[in-house]
Amino acid sequence: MARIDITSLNKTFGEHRILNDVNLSIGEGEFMALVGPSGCGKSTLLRMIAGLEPASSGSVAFDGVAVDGKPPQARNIAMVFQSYALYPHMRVRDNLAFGLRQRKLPSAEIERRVLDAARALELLSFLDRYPRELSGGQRQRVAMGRAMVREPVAFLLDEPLSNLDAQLRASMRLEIRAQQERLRVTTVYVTHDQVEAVTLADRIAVMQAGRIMQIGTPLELYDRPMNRFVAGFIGSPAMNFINVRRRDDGVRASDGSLIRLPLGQANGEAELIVGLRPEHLSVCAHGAVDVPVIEGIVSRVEQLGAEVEIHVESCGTRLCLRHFGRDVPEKGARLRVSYEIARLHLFDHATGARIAEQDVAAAIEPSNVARDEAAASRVRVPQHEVDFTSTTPPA
Amino acid sequence: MTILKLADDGRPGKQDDVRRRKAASPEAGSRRIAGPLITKRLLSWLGIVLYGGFFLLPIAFLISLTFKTRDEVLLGQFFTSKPVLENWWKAFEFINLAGFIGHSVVIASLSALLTVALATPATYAVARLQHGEFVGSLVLSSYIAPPVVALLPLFFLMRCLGLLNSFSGMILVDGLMNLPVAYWLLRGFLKKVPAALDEAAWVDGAGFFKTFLLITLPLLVPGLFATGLISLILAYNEFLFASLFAQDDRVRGLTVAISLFQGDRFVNFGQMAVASIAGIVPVYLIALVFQNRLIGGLTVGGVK
Repeated sequence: MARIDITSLNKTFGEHRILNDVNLSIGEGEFMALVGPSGCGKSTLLRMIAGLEPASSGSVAFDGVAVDGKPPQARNIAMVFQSYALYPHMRVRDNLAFGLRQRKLPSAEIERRVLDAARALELLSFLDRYPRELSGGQRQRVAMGRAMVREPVAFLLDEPLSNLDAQLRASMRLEIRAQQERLRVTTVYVTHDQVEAVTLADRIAVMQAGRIMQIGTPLELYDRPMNRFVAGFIGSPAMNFINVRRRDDGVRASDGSLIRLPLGQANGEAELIVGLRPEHLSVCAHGAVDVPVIEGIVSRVEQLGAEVEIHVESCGTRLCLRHFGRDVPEKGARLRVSYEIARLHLFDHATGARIAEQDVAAAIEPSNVARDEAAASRVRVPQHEVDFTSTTPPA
Repeated sequence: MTILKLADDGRPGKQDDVRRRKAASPEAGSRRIAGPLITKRLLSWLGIVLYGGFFLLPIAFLISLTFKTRDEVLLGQFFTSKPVLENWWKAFEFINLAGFIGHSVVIASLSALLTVALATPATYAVARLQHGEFVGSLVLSSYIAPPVVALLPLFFLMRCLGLLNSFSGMILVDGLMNLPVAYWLLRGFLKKVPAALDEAAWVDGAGFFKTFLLITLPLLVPGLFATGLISLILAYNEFLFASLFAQDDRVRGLTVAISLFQGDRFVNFGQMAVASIAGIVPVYLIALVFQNRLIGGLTVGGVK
């Protein structure tokens, strides 16, 4: 187990900047996920921790000792590759034992560790098979086992589940977490799947274009994304974004819809982005009073069994909302969607940065944001408010 | 075609009729379909025969030459009216054919071993280095120049080293001459071995040489055999250097020996053909023995 400190790490390939001033501290025994879209530099960062890629500048340190320039052999880390990289000409037993033999451990100790790992990963009956004789899931477990037997200072996992089908991925996810909790080895886990990152990691570093956009616990990232990118990346389905403009009469979307803000109107920002997660939008209930609503036309309804994803054309964009229930509107119906003001996120249009609550000017008082319009956006009683009558969508 | 036409004519019940008729006499139906199928098969066989004949004709002509008298050869007939066997024993009597074939096999085999032994680590080093591509082009460029350019410098070099008319000299020349080809062949095979395997071994603690030895080399075996075999054939067929550097009977190889059948006034085609056919046999046998080794697929299951 080791603490990993990454300081001002840069990587360039020719004119291409792969990593841009990356700073990251991973605590002892911590499970850190590096998440981001393809090409964001997360795998490169992992390979640099492993010593497989030299850094252009900056430093990587294990337990405060810089390992820059040290080859992978000297770093005592274990890595699970996306392709598994099992030695095809060796049986499972030899694949597991290879690293231990390189460290010249006594054969009895090697045997004990191989059997322990095989038992933990339910590989005992496959020890004498070749990788080609195993299924995808079994190969993945061998790759995990090869890392586990080593008792390294850190596990580095490079998209280890991306080659598995959805069902197997879910069960392997649980297994990886269980093994990590059992061994408490510092783990860096690279994935492009935010669900994997959120479910597995103690903390997540979200990356984009070679930069770390935010580091935090899964809930921190979900509740307080520091920029539009993180907000859009974490959460499934993705957050809805509405471009709004501050006008004299309030904050309005391009189609003129008025949106109420939680605390107040941002300081002088003319163009803003409002973020609303699909789970924080709901079909406006019958008789609801004094709740903020947005109106739109249902453009698509996706039935997922336990929930329904309803897509609504509104505010100059397509909003997605998660609806639990069987009373589903039809395509083309006019729908009133209510939203939770407290869970509304606000981002700067130009920089994408979160507009923090304390930066927001005095509370959103009707005096600041056109009192009348704010009031107008509230639902006024109608008893048969939610009507799913089909109407012709606007041309 | 008939069935389709009947089925498509739109009259109700017609399709069922056809089916019933077809069921009643399945032979008639199959005959209707079998016609074009047989034609197609015949045509493809004809194609194969023509294609195969194009390549086998020279061998067949060579074999027929071995049974012809000298006069018949000059007449230029393909088939002989009175086959004779004397070429077969005379060829072996006229020169030490078996011995020369043996020399060729020894020189070609050892030089192929030398080529593979040098090319494998060299290819690994170049192909796995990040900026090694220009070395590859450099290697290839040395092969572009005609071999005759190197003939005289090599002759003097070998004379200085006392390697003329020696097995070691010929093995060295052939072995080094085929290095560029071997490099390019092995490079292709090496590219198929995923670099992630090397990286996994490094992370597992294996040194760079050990990784090459324990991980890459075993996976390159089919490539090594293929490269070795091609190097062997190239060395076995080599004539230019052998004709100058191995003139002594103790080291002379088959290609030079065949030229001995050419006299001042006539060429003994019949015996020359015997020598050529006898020369094909060892290479063919070697290829036959190693053909299973040439089949790849050893890396299956390693990645993904």
